[in-house]
Amino acid sequence: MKRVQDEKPERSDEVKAWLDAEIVAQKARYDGIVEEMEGIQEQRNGWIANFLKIIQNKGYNTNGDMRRAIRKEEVPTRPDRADADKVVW
Amino acid sequence: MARPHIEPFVELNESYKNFSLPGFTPSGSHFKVLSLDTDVGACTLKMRFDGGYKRKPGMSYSDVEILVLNGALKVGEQYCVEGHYLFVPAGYALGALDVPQGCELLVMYNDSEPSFLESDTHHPLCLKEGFVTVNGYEDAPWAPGNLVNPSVAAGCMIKVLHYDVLTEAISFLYCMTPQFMQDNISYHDCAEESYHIWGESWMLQFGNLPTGGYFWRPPYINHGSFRSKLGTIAFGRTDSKLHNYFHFNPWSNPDENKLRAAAQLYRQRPQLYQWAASDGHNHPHGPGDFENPHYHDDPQVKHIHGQHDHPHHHHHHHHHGGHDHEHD
Repeated sequence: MKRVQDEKPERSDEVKAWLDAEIVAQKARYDGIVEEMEGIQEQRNGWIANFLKIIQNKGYNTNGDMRRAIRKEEVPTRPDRADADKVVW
Repeated sequence: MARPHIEPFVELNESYKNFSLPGFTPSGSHFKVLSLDTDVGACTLKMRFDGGYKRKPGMSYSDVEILVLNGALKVGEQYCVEGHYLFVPAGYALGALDVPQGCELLVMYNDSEPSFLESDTHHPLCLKEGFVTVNGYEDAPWAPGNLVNPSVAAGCMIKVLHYDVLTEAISFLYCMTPQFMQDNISYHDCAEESYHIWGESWMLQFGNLPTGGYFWRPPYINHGSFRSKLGTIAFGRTDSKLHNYFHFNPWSNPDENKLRAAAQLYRQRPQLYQWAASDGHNHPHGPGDFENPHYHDDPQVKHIHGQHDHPHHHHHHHHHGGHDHEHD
């Protein structure tokens, strides 16, 4: 079944130039975000430590406001791999 | 690639650019790109129309979603003020635009780059019954977040503005009450997008997201735990069905999250999993559906499966359970 989208004309040079410029700008934006997020890793480590405390006393939200307390032996540990601290993918 | 992971991005720190694409009057029309699909050109823009801006009736070759953030614009005979949401199917001849005193909008081109063709009649192939016009602030009720189960915590509510019956993609307003909290880590099978209209929230991975904060997050990426100290109202979208996978491991990566999701499917829908995973049943473009026999042609379905026509028509190699499928 044919759709309107299938009848879109070829991109003009003007549209291609607009897209190319915005793709470059987005790449710069993405790189900036990655740098910013890597820059708060120390702070994030504190947030993670606090989260791991909360889930052991108040519990973590399993569904809605229902919580389950996590036993000490269930608490996850940071894996030894290159992407362990990565948050922007 | 499609859209990259843009999170967090605070657009208020960025300047507008003049919109000079064909069909967008260069004077009085401005944009900022929030995210952009580098293959097909689908994008989310924040736009500003200056007071006095006018545009004749016309259509786009893409489905378009619009949310009025502030100010007002007249669309045909209808005044759209803040909170107004429009879903404009591709080929729908939207009425003339008249902006008396300026306005700012979120504008989303779902299928391709921004396009405009002057016309006062709908394209013959337009699915015009899909047109939606509603003021989300005044004419849509808040629903509890348990619309989706497993559910977010109490204090996060939702107003559904648009629902795609084939993919279950939804566009919605959501809010978090002051002092909202949810102590889990979440991910989804779908891409998720959000724009903070007002207020702030916090996530374990990304820190604070203020007014003007935005994200486009591909599937299976951890986010949360969550806090909102002062409350927030935001616009959100998914590109397919929203399912909340909750857990408490801050270090799982998208591959592990996807495996965990597949393991749930294996346990909870065993017959479907076995059928889809077995040799000979692996349909790269989707199995038949007697209820929706033409769903393969639906732009949103094609989009979420990465099927699109490039201007240069290069080849894709899709990997589905160990099978290579090639198509133009």
